[in-house]
Formats: sequence, C-alpha cells, structure tokens
Amino acid sequence: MNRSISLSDIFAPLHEISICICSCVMLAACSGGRPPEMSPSAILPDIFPDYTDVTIPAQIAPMNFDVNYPDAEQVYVKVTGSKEGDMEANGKTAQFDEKKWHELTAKNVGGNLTFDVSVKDKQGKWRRYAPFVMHVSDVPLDDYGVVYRKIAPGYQTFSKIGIYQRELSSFEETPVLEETAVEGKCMNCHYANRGRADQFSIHIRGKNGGTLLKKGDTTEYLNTKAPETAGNATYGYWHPDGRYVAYSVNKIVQNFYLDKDHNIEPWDVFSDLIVLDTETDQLITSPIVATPRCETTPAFSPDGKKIYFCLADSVTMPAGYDRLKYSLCSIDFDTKEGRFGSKIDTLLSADAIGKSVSLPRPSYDGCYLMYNLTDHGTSPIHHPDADLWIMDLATGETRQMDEVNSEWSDAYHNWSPGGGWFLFNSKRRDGMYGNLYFSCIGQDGKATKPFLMPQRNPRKYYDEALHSFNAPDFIAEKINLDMPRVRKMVKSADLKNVTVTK
Amino acid sequence: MKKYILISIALVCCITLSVWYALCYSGHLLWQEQNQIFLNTPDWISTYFDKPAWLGCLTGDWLTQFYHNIWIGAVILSLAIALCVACMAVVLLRLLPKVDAWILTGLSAVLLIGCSMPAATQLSFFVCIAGGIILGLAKFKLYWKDSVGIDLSPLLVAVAYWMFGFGALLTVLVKILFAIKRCLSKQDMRTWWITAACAVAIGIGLPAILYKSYALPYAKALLYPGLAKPELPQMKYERRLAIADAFYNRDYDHVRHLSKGDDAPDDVTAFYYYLSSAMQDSLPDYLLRYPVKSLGTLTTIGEKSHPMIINMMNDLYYELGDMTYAERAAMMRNVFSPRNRNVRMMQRLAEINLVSGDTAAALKYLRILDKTFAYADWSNCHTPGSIAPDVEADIMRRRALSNDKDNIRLGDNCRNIILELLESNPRNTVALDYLLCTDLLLKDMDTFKMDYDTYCMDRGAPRYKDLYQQALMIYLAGTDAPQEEWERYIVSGPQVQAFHAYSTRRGDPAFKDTYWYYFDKN
Repeated sequence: MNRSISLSDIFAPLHEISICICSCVMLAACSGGRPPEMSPSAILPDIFPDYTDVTIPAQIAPMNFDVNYPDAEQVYVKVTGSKEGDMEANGKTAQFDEKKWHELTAKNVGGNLTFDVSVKDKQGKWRRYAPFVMHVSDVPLDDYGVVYRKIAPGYQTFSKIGIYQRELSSFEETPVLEETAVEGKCMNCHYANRGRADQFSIHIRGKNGGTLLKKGDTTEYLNTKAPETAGNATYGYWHPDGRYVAYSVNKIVQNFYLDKDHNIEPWDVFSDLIVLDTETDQLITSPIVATPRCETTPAFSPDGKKIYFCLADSVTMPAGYDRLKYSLCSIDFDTKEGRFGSKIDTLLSADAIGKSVSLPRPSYDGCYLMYNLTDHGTSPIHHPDADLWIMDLATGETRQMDEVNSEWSDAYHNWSPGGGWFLFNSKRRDGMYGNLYFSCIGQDGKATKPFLMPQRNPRKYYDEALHSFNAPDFIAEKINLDMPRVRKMVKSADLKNVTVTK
Repeated sequence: MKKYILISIALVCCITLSVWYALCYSGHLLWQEQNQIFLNTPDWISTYFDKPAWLGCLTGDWLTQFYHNIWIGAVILSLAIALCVACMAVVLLRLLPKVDAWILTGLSAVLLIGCSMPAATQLSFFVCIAGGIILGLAKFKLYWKDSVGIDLSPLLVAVAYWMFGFGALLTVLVKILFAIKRCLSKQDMRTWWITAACAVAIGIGLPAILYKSYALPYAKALLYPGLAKPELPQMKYERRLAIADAFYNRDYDHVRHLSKGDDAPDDVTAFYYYLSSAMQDSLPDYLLRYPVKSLGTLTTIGEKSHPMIINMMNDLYYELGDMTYAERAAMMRNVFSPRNRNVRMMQRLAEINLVSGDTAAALKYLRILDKTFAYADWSNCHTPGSIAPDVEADIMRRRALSNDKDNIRLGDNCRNIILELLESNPRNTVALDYLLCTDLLLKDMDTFKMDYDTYCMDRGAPRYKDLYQQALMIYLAGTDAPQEEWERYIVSGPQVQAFHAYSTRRGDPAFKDTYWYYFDKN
C-alpha cells in the first residue's frame, strides 16, 4: 500500500524507543561476565516460553525467553546456526538483538539453531544446561504480521477493547481501531480477505452500529440489518475474488456456568447465512440457509465455489445447552449468478461424532480444513475441551491435532495466506487468558510444536497482560485505517442501507 | 521577612489541607488509589508513551499508589496543589501588581482545591498543570555570533504536550500573557508576538497531527489526560466511600457505625449495612432497624452501571459464595478502570481464583500484585506455597460455601444464584438470610414459607430469628394454620404475646421494628 509519511509516523515509534530505553537500562544493570568453560549437564533448561524443539519461520521476531529458576541472576545464551553464524545474549533474560537474529535465521533456513544456555545463580555459581534446538523452517512466513482483538476474557465487556496489529518480524504493535477512537462502541472481529490490508470488514456494535467495509480506497459503513435478515452481519469470510463476503447473522446471548472450568456459554437465539455483494451492496439470502435451525461461521472454499459452515438443529435454550451440537456442512455458491446452491452437504455429522463443530477454516491452498470440536456449543474459546482438528480435503480423512492441542481451549485458528503456517488462540498458560501460538504443517501432514508469540520480555508481557488475543488472523500488509473518519462515520450514523435479493 | 511570612502561610495552608484530606476525605483518596494500579516494571512504564502526557500520567499514577497510606496521600495531593498554586503565583506576580496577583492566586488555589473534590480527578491533572506552567515560564533561546538569538521557546509547547498533555495549553497561555504584557509595555513586541503565535500554532496543531497516532479523538488528544471540574466537597459520597472501604477492610462494626443515624440512607449505605450485618450472622436482626432499602439482590450490572455499583455486586457475590458472578463483576470493573485494571479488583480476582482452586489464574494476578509497591506483601501471603494460615482458613471457609454445581445458569437472577448456593451448601447462612430477607422485603409470604421450609425445616435446621418468627406468624395466621403447625414453627413465647398485642393495635409505631408493622405499613 502506498501512503505518505506523516509526522505521526515519526512520533508513533516512541513506544518502541521507550521500551528500548527501559530495556537497555535493565540490561545495563543486569549484564555481567560470561560463564567459565564447563561441560553442559544432561538437563534441558527450564525456560518460558517453552521454545525447545519448536519450528520457527526465518522471519519471526527474536525468540526471547526467561529461565524458570527463582535464584537466576544472569542468563548467558550462545546460539549457533547449523549452517552458518552465531550470536549471543547475556542479561537477566535471554533477549536477542533483532538485526543479528534475523541475519542468523536467514542464514539457517532449513537448518537448526542450537541454544546453549548457562545460568548464574545468586551465589555467583554458573550452571550450563544441555543445549536445545529450534528448527528454522524452509516454509516462509512472509506476512507483515497478525491482527487480533484485545479483550478481557470470557465475560461481557461491552467496550474498552481494540483491534491491534503486530509485526511478526519485530515487537511493534499498533492499533487498527481502538475504543478510544470510537468511544463506547464494541468492535467485533476483523475479517480480511486472505490477510489483505485493503479488503476487510469490522462490525461495530451498539448505538449507530454497523459493518465497516474497507475495499481498496473505499471505506463504507453499512447497515447490514434488514427486515429479511433480522440481524447484523456477525461472523464473516471473504470470497477469494474480493467481491463477496459470506456472513452469518447471529443474535447472540450469554449464559454463565457455575463450575470453575467454564465461565460463559454464548449461544445463538437464531443464526442464518447471508452473502454481501460488495459491488452492489446487496445481501444474497436463501431459504435453505435461513431456517429455524442455526447456520453460522461461514467460510468460502479457496476456489470460491463452496461455503463451509456449521449447522445445528435448534434446541430449547439455554436449558438444552449441552444438546446444542453443530455439524460441519457445505453449500455451493454460484459466483456468476451470486446465488446459493440448492443442497446442503454434511461433511461431519454432529449426531455421528457426538461433538459440536465450529470455525471451519480451509487452508488457502485447498489441501486442509481446520476446525474445532467441543462437547457442545458454538464458542470454543469458552470450552476447555475445545481442540483443533484437521481434515484432508482430498481424502476426507480427519484427525485430532494432538501435536498442538492442550488441556485448555485451543481455538480461533487461521491460516497464513502463503500456506503452511497457521495460528491459533490457546488458554494453555492459565486457563483464562487466550494467547497466540504458531505452528506449521510439515510435509508429513503433521503440525510442528506450536510456539507462543514472541515478546521482547515474554514473562513480563504475559504476566502483566489482562487481555486475550481474540479472533487472530494473519495480515499480509500493515493496515492503515483512518480512525478519525471511522469515528465520524460511527458518530454521525452515516450508514448505507443494503438491499436484499433472494 | 515577607518571604518567611509567605512561606509560613503556604505551609500552614498546606498542612491544614493535608489534615483535612486525611481526616475528612480519606474515602476519595483511597478510591483513587484503588481505582488504578501501578507496576514497577519497565514494560509497564513504557506503556505511558502510548499516549500524550506521559510524564504527567506517570508521575501522577506513581504517586497515587502511595495514597495507600492515607496521610502520605493527603500530603502528596496537598503538595501537588501547592505546586500548581506556586506556579500560578509566579506567573501572576510577573504580570500583575502584587495585590491583584495574590488575590488571583488565592482564587486559583480555591479552584484547584475544588477540582480535587470529585473522586474521578486524578493526580496527573495537577502534575500536568504544574508542568505546563513551568515550561511556559522556561526560556529556550539559541544564540550565535554572541549577539543574535532565536527564541525557540515555542518548541517547549511541543515538549509540554508530549510530557503534560493539556498542560501545553497552559504553556501557550503563559506565552500569550507574557506577549500581552510586553505589548502593553512596548518592549520588543514583535518577537514576543511571534513567539506567542508559534506557541499557539504548536499547541493546537501538534495534537491535530498526533491524534491519529495516539488513537484518540482530536478533542480528547488536545485535553489529555482530561480536565477536572471544580466542585464542593462531596461529603455524602465520601461517606459512601468510607463505608465501602470499611467493608473492604472487613471492619463490619465500623460499617454499621458509619451507616447509623441516617433517616434516608442511600442504596450504597444500606447495601453495606445489610451485608455487614449478614457477615456477622445478624441480617434478620438488623433488617428492620434501618430504613428499608434494597438488599442488592435485585440489582443487575451492565455497561452503564456506576463503578461503585459494580464494586457492590462484586462484594455481594463474593460474600454469598458465587465466584462466577464475583469474577464477572471484577472483570467488568477492571475494564472500566483507567488503563483497564485496578488494584482492588486484581486482589479480588486472585481471591476468587484461590477459592475456586484455579491456582494458575490466581498466580497470574498475584504476580501482577507482586510488582506493586503496596500489595507485594499481600501477594506474598496469598501465594500458594507461602500462604498465611488465616488466609488459608478464609479460603477454605469460602470454598466450602461456594457453588459446586456443574451447570449453566439461566439468567443473572440473584434468587436463582442463591438457591444454587444453598443447594451446594445449606449452611451458607449469608445466602440463606439474603434469600429469606429478600422474600420478606417483597412481602412474598408464600415464597418465604416455601424457602424457609426447604432450607430450614426440611433440613432439620430451623433458623430462630425474631424476624422469621414474626413473618411465620403472619403466614400461619393468614392460612388459619392448626395449633400443631404453630408449635412446629414458633418457639418464642414473648413473640407470640407481642403478635397478639400487635393484632389489637395494628399500625402502632411502637411496633415499628417488627415485621408485622413493615408488612402492614410499608
């Protein structure tokens, strides 16, 4: 995207500079000498995040880590590339120089980085641990970064949230749209067309709420609620050619659990599918996907000829909450005519598997379909039992992704437009806050050990964060949304009504 | 000599103000301290650069954490106001005749003290004022060739905006005032007006350039971190805050003491009066000895709820034993705090998760509290592994009373919540009293009788409280219950005699503390 450089761009990195200054002060205070020559023990270092044996893209930001030893005074890490180069980190935590890190990973694509960790305790005694390895994948991750909504987990929070983007090769996080810019409004997730920065939609809830649609240089604020659809567009997915966006129209309510492992159960009073034609601002509906049953979370197939979605028979809610199970279905979509097909195919029947499917996400190369399975319901982030599953679209074979799942909720997955890499939200750290993890599907179809999104000072960051990384997705380029314009649109209720075709 | 007199007057005013804040306005100060959190970590400090006024906000928030000690807090606030007044005095003395300057200084002091009255006023407001004025007074000239100089002081406006947000407007104002003064005295007018014009342009223009980066609307960016409105002391609100603080400190006698003597208590006062009584196992004893208000059981919280109401619901659900709703209220309260978190709710979230047995989540909050100045010790004695015996006992007691059902709740109806708690543990007397007393306040005698039977009689644990005895008599009399029913429920002979006496004198104020009178009159 071309855009002029403004003074605000110059001032924006102040946060980064300030972090650097604060970190340098800390590092200067903590840096000490190197460890003496000694043999490594047979024990791997206990580190946070657990980056041992993970596979990383060469483009990723430095994989800084902390050691989990209360008596640790200093950490010395020597990183050696299997092909070429080395670097070191020395301080209170293992923090790597960004430039040297990227040079090292670039030289070792397809190889390994070996981390030789030594820790000095408060008595000044050094311990050297068994080296661990990170694999530098030869599958590139060329996207600019990721976009996510920061939100307090699991509860109705109404506002005070924002959508942010984070550069993957650095630690820079910038707001896309913050609640401070559209005060008192709650923003739904950001849905982009294969990570494109110029094709996305965001639904804004509450008074003057509507669907913000960015397409090229045009930003429209649409009222997607029509008498025929009964609700606003909620969960969206773009057609690959950028003309259509499939949405589900959901009327969501929330009930609370009594036990400690669950907190909230969102469910749909009703939900139907619609497709928005962004060229004509018309909603395409069909009685086959607007039934008393619940149709939700649509996703176009990579060729755009099909829409995957979840479908459940309606049950008496909330009393029948544990009987609400969604099947994985698909329906054809005729892009020329802008019309839904006439038949729904069931790919996974909830009755047959006794589980509930949610969030189908096909990989952009058309090889796989990743989805969630839970005991019941439609909101996997609120279910500790939510696990990622993957279907081979060529064979129809499906399996639980044990290599990435945890005992807590693993959900909100999305694929990198470049293929191979995917991200997901997992509550594995404390059962409450969802953090971002990355993994890659290898040649054997297995996913690599997932790694937590790197931070400059990971323990401090994740300890102090009081938000979940909600609805994350990759973005190919940095999003530049004109927040004051959006604010003006929302404030003036400058909504454009859509029409409905059946 | 005069200088010493001035200093003495300032000192006396400052001390008087400090003493007044500490003795009469401590609730407000504690509210401010508890409504925020300050972490002593570089990452946290660096977040202050995300918005303008980083130095004002950082200094203000850092100092506010010391309000934990009310006397230190009172001194800090007084000194901050004194600093602002001193800055204003310096400006005014340079501009006006002494008498006029001192009169205006006095007025500005009154206004500033008035601005400190609302609970929402943050200390950063005063720091930004002082910072802005100081930079307005500063000079920044670049000389070369020993003679020619360029006045770069308008650039200080940019620095002022970066460091003190709206304080930059005061920097601009000071520059304009000095320009006017120079103009009137015909001294180097041109230079001063250019300086003032540049200052205005930067003061208004810089927020216009940066507001997108700061993700703020222009007006908010211009006035960041926000202005305060002068108000008279809010003593009624102060009383509510003091009562809420006494409850927070579990000083239930003090809550009841503070609540007394009010013929028309507000909802907050009555709420804490009742909850403190319940905590001392005496809600039925005190319910009618106080002007009857809502118990809070019919209150729901949402987006537009006042922060204090969310605090109250958090306290209610926590004491009742419903950790799900207590957590929900705590999360919500956090979200609606400055920077989306506050220290009281951080403590409460840690407590909730300790009671729920969710150690990993509890540790998250404890680790955050460990990075604070005032709550590191609290965090330490709540951390599993080093948990203090009294804390452990309290957690175990609450765990025994909390909900152990694995089900979904059909709504946020407090009655259902209490019934679920009683199903888990019928000995939860706080929940039981709230259930029965809510029935009685609603005069729903059939439901009261049903609840009393279900949770007292059927479980062989009748709760002999005068209030319940009186209510049961109304029910039994109203249903023409046979004698054996009376004997089964009513054990208090004097209460029976009093009931007969009341029956002949219905509505007699001599019986105003009885449920019979409440039932007839209210």
